Amino acid sequence: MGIDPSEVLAGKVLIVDDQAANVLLLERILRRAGYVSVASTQDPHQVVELHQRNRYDLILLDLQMPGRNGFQVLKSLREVEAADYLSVLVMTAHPGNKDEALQSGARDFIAKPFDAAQVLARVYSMLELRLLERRTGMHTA
Amino acid sequence: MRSSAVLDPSKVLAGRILVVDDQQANVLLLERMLRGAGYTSVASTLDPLLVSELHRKHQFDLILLDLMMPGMDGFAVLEGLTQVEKGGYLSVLAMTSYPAHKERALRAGAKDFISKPFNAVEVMTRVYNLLELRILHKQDRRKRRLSPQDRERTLLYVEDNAANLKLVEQLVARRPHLRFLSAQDASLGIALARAAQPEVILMDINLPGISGHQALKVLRQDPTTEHIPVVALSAHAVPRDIAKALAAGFFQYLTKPLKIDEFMDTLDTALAFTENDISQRRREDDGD
Repeated sequence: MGIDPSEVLAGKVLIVDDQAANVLLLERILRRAGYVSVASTQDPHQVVELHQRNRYDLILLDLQMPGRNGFQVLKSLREVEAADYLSVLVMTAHPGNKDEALQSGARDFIAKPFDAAQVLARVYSMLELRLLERRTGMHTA
Repeated sequence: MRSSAVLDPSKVLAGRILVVDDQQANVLLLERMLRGAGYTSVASTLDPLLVSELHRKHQFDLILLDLMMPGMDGFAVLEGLTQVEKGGYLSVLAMTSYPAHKERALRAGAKDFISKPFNAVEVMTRVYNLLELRILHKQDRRKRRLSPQDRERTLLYVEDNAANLKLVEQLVARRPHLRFLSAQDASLGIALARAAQPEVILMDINLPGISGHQALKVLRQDPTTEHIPVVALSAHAVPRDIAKALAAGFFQYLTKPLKIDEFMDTLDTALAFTENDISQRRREDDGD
């Protein structure tokens, strides 16, 4: 098949959640599955700057954070990525938030509490999509 | 609904979808949701036993698969589908109301799942993402097939001696994706070159009837074959013959008995020459 799994597992992932327990859990799920480039922050104010510096292939974004919620982060990310492709999976326990998040530019969502199989399936697909889109973009450029 | 940097949404909406559920009500609901969102190719079946055969015939870009069906459950269907789709990207969204089934379905080859009862936002998001993924995979594979190292190439050998034909055929078999064609005289060789457009031609010089030299002249005068490198092969060669042949436009001159290393090197050089030539002409066609 087209995409080598090691390419997917090398994708740059950022976890954004104000709860340390959630960050640790997600990091562990991803690292155990073989992902080698997993970063995290508990501070929503840092996300845009981190992304501009590190150009993540995927951002896992909690929607409910104090100070600056996920929707505001998503909006700022869209502003800096206006011309490019933004790959964000939002994480939420509230079904009502899904609609709004997708309309704000998220690609999909992960339900809380986390289920490892769900997290891994969605993260893998999103990174694969990102790789293929980048490859296609380069070909046509 | 959402802008993707690369894939036109109309391509995603034209993706071929199959809905598999034993409950008519679920099928109708999903069909209505998908058509309402603009998907133009939605098929369905209530019979799990038909799924593999349908997929073999129609090569769906996405299969929405209920996991609990009487007769044959979704896991057995998944197993059949992975056989049909060997080597390709199997795009299955499992539909289930049991959390325990989700993980099992993912392990069995489903790419994601949607929960029952259906939530429209979830269904639409997953359907769109997986279709996009499958279509990009297909495009990527098509491009790889066309890339130089994988594309099938053809070699034509014009030779009247059966032993030489056999030897060269065996040598050519060492290069993957290289097809071997042969002709026993020059007029057949010229006709085959025009029809098959080989990437490289090996030409015996001392052919009965039209000679290798005359054949080269004909190939060079024909715009459909003038670019193909032609390698001369001959048993009796003095340096003057070789110089004359190269001046006439042969790509290279090899003497018999063939030295295997030299032969393989010449073959690779001629193929690389054609490859460069093709990409150069392609670039000119693109206008840059």
